[in-house]
Amino acid sequence: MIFSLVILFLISRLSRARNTRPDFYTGDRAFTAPQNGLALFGTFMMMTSFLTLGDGIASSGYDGVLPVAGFAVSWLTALLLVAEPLRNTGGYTLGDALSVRMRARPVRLAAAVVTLVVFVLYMTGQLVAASGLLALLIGLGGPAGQALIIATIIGVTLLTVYHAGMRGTTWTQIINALLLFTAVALLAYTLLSSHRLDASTLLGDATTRLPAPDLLESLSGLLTTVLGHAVLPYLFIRFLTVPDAKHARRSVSWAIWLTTPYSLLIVLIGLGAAALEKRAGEASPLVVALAEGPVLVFVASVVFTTIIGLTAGLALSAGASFTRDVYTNLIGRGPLDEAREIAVARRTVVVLCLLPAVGAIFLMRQNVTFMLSLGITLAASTILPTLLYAWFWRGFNTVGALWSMYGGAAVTTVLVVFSPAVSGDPLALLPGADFALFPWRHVGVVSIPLAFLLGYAGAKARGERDDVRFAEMEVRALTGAGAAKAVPRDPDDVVPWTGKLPWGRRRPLRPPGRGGS
Amino acid sequence: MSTGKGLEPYPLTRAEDTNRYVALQRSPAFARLRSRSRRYLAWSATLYLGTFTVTVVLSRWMPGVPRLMCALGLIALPVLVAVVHLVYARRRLDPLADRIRAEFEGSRR
Repeated sequence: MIFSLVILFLISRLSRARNTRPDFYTGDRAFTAPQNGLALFGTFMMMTSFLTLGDGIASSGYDGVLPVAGFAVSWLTALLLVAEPLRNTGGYTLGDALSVRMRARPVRLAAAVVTLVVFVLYMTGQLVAASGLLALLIGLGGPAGQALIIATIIGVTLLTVYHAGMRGTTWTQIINALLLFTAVALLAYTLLSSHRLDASTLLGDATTRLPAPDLLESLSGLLTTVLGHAVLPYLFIRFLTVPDAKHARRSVSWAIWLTTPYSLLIVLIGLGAAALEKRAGEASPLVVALAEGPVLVFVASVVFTTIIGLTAGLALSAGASFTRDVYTNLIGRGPLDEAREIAVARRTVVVLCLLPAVGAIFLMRQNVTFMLSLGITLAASTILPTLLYAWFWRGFNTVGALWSMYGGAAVTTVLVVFSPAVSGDPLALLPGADFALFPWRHVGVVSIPLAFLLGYAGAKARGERDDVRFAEMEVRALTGAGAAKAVPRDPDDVVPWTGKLPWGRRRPLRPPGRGGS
Repeated sequence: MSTGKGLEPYPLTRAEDTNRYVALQRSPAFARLRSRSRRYLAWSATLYLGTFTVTVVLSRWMPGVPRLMCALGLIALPVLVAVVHLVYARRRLDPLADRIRAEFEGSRR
């Protein structure tokens, strides 16, 4: 715990953000592809998701392996459809990307609304899940303990984002990636060595032990993951932190190279835990079953740092979205000067983080997994159709964008409210009530096509079309002509107490030696 | 490009740049890049989503199929597609895109 705090402190001191837009929001767009790939992997494969996935495999065998595959395959959506055009057309937020060809005010507002809703849902869900897990791991029982953990997470997140902006956030995420990989490898090793299991028996052992969920329902959940993950706002802001689209492409491929072995290790651990349970005759949460003593402490600190990397990324993307899309465009009168915009962004991040923190403390004892899946479903059925139409369809327009964003969000929300995730199921948010008219808890297979349809209908309903601005969008999306470039580092930017450049000037962002673990 | 109420706070594109974009969009080189990349993207997206869906469905319905192997195969799928994509994009898309981008940026000054 202290160890992770020290790392975070070092990062936030060594990589203070200057008060410029590119630096605060995107680390001057100067990260290399492997760095960004590590950071992508570090935010995306959170420790919490690792544990839930591992538990899923342990309790349901094959059906638990499929979500792991879903997460892995979701990188392909990022690789093929999202990363490159986004880097070529995006500024700092979804609103920036869309307003290249749409009327700025309405689409920025819609983009901000969608981003912030996803942010609140995702952040609250992650806070509850991570704090529950940490409470279990370090033995801080009781609501007070968990509330304390939530407060600590938010505090450290704010410290990171406030001081270090995207640069600090990215380094946190890179360290997460390394720690996460170490932790998983360590767990797999402990499992195989100390319990005398070997991989081939484990693989032979995997059988379904729970009644399989409905095929269409699980397919719906999987496809939502595959399509939605790539456009979660905290992930897609990462595609903007590299010098150009080729680096964005290569960073996603780096994330893929990391994800595949990592997923295989997770499967191994999950199956191993299942075998252990069978031997011991009782089920227990995955980590507790596997880790003892120092390993447990290590895993706990990894959980802590990874959740910081995730929340920092979420907070930064939401702060950017509010500041740029809502504050300066709707409330403010025209562009703020740069330093003031960043000051506003910093304060926005503080305010925005308090909301999910309070929410998480209230919902601590609830089952919030539905908030996470709702967040992904919302992203997949609002942001994805809007972006794809905006880049590739000449006939798209502002009205279509509004329909696919607000309409997609409305459809998703209504379906989820009437799904078994909210009522009529022992695991639902309101287990007592029953108004579940929709049969599945994963609504993506209906809401995503509907959102595409709404975007199409909206664009057709109002015949307006701006072919001139579409020319800009299309040429930029495919070639990167006129896309924002990396900011060269300022030679005067030195670490105060050493008088040296924090990293070499030719490769702008080498790790600041001490930051690694 | 003003919407009437309030300012358009981020003047993203200068007028002469806009003209350049329009000209480039009409150029044969861009038409080639567009049709090539669209065809490629449509195919590859259909393929990876299709493979994923079909594998999930088959492994559930066909009792003979080794299910775990299917899932592990899906985990390895991204590596395969990523390699293909990296090679294809570097050989077939990047040269065209770079030329158009250079044309745009060269004509700027």
